Amino acid sequence: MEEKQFSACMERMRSGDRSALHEVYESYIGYIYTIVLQTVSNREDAEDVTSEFFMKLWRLADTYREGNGHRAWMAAIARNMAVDLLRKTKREVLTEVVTEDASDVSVEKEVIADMSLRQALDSLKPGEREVVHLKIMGEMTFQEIADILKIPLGTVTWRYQNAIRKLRRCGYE
Amino acid sequence: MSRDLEREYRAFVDSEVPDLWARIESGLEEKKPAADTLADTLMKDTRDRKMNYKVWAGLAAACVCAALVVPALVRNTGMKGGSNSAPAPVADTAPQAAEAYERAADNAGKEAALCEEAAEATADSGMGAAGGIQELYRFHAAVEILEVDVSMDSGVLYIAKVLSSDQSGIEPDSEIQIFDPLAASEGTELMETDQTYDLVLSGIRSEDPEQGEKYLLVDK
Repeated sequence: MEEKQFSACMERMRSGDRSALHEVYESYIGYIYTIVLQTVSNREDAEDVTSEFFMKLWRLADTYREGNGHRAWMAAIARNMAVDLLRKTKREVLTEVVTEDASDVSVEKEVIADMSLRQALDSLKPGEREVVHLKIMGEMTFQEIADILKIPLGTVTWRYQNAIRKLRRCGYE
Repeated sequence: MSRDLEREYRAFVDSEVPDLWARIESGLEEKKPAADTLADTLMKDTRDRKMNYKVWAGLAAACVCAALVVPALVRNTGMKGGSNSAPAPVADTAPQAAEAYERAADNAGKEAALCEEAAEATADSGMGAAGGIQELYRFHAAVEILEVDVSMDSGVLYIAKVLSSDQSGIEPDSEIQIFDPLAASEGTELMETDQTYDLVLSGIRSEDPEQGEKYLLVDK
């Protein structure tokens, strides 16, 4: 969805048009759900937070002002909501320790044939999957991803390169 | 064999997503006419008060004008034919009256602006709803963010520890709540927990001590 399309939908939502929210939902449910799931690591919680996200978007339409990058804006809200849930439930450690271990090397050396995308993604670390998702689905720059994940730019590019290297071994370009 | 990661990834994500639309739709609030919302009610109150200030300022200015001009006119007419001295007092007092009027109008404008700011601050943070707004002031503070509450629609509420402040009564190591209404806007960067920030805050003292110390973020 283009920036103008999104703004038009938000405008329609302001006047109570639910079909506008449905259009945004259809375009971004996968994007938002995956961002949330990657943070909370629990499908039930991810469904709760994703539902709440779209309800919140409906309410935010009243005060929304057009800007550049609604995908990054939505990602930041969704991720904050997910992090907020984690804080409240205190079930998981929020910060992920980035470690480069031997498993990366072993993956590199593995001969991987005809692997499904799910299996290929399973070979990525959570942080790497998160970056790949925001890059592909969010069409974001590395800087935008760094801002949303609140990690250094170098870490983002490093994770992305690592992920791409692993996915290439699985036959993806 | 080379497979298109982007295309397959999008398809994969779409296939993994549950259908949440019915649930979302059932949770949507009906959009009410703009004037019925709490924020708009508060803004309307503010506008009403703003209008009241203008009326009172106008009346005050008129009184000042009358107090300055009428005695001069009385003196002028009382002299009956003293044409040499009559115009002088009127000429002297007219600029003073104009200045007084400007001052009164300016003060009214400032009070109205403060009032409006306070109303905006209270619209979502719960400030002032029970306690009533008493006094508004600004100050600088260095704080460490302890918690971030993004559950509100029109802003973010931070719980922060004060490191230093130029406002008396706000002691180092005390915890305060900071409401940032701009955080609801696209592109606004949120403050992060465990980070320290130098902030300009706007304080609203409440009559109700249970409301605690709550401040509005003016500038980072």
